[in-house]
Amino acid sequence: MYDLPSLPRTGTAKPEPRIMLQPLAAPSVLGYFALSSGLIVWGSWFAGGWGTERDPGSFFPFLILFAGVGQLGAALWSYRARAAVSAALHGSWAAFFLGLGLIYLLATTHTVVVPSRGMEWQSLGQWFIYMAVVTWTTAFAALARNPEGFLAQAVLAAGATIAAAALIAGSPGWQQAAGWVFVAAATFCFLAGAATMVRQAPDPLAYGRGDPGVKVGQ
Amino acid sequence: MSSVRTGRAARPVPDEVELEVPLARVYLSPIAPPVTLGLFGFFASTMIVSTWLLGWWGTTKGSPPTMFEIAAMFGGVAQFAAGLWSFRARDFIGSALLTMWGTYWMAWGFLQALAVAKVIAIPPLTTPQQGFAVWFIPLALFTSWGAVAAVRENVPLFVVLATVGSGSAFVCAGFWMGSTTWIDVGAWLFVFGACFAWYTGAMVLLEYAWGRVVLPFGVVPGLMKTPVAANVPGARISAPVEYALGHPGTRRTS
Repeated sequence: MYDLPSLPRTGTAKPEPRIMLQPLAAPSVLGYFALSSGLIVWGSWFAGGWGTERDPGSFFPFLILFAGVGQLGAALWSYRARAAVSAALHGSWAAFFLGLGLIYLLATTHTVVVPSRGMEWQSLGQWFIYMAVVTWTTAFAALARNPEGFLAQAVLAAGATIAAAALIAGSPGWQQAAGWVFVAAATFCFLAGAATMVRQAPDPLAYGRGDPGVKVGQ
Repeated sequence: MSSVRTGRAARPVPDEVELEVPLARVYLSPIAPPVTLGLFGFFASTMIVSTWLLGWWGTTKGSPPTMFEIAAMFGGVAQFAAGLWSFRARDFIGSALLTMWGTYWMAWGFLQALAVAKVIAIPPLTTPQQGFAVWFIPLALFTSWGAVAAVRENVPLFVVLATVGSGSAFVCAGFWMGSTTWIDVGAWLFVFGACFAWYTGAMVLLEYAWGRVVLPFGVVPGLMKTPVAANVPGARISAPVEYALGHPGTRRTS
């Protein structure tokens, strides 16, 4: 046992701050792939390209887990990647697909009733108004340094705008049009993610013989 | 040197010089601004429910059963996650209030889910709902206090918190008494605050993405710590530390 004198518990000297930059893989690859997957599955179905009114009971888990949870994971890693547009875009659309998947889950269990395709669906139409506002905003932000991202987001925002009007008005034709615009947006999202994946330049700071994270890759 | 207690475990005490606290090294780690996603989630969820309360769309029979799911996820989960990331951003307002409102939207979604599952019954707005009204007492109090703190930040954020804080008080009174008038007043304030939430989120996002001010910050000189140049579109107000050839994280990305 020590009989310790009263020692200072904190230093008084001003510490030296250091800014630590930590490289990581671009989260927007997963983000765009997850967004694209949700848009192509739901968009093509919503456009009337395939299936029946019972099919959401089969694809809602995919919407929740890949377009929802997977994309949300990408959005949260985007903070560390210093990717503000990805964080906002993928966070917003991840939440949308989580919610949409939950609606279809509740419809599958006969807890809520979901209007058929082509019919008026006020609440989802209202949601698309705000998804459009958010996506037009992120698209304008992406225009600063990511033309592929801007294109994908602008088409997605256009789809959301058309979907909002079509669902509120209950217009089957415009709902079909919105669905196909979502499919187009899915294509551009895939291209944006694919371009980011192949564009990863070698990191001059990486130590090639280190563990993953120190070197680039596995 | 200090005295040593007698006993079988007696050991010499190190010299005080050896116990001096070593010089600390503080690591600052940049991240993207979390407030944008949080405010976008707040904007969308608040708008859709407030406009429904005001009768702009839908029916007055009850909350649409396909409205709460996305609110619970966007205003709830996404805003909550953004709030937790705000701790890393050292954003004391966002870390407290985005997280708080995220939990509100999740809890509200949970309540609505119980209602559509017919576990509970939600009465019409004209019936006093004191058990729900009390939710808005801490929400009003803490959000209004956030507005006081935002006086040092920027005008749009202050307006968001001031209107939402006061709106929460009116909504609290409305649900407590079953008064649709007070609920409508609160809902109007929510709509106003939600629009400013979008503006604030877009203002931060665009400045970060473009590297210069796009939407004016509304800085009151001498009162707010943000430079007054933030009121001028095109001005540069941030100087990020970046390694241009590095991977995401060592530089800003889109």
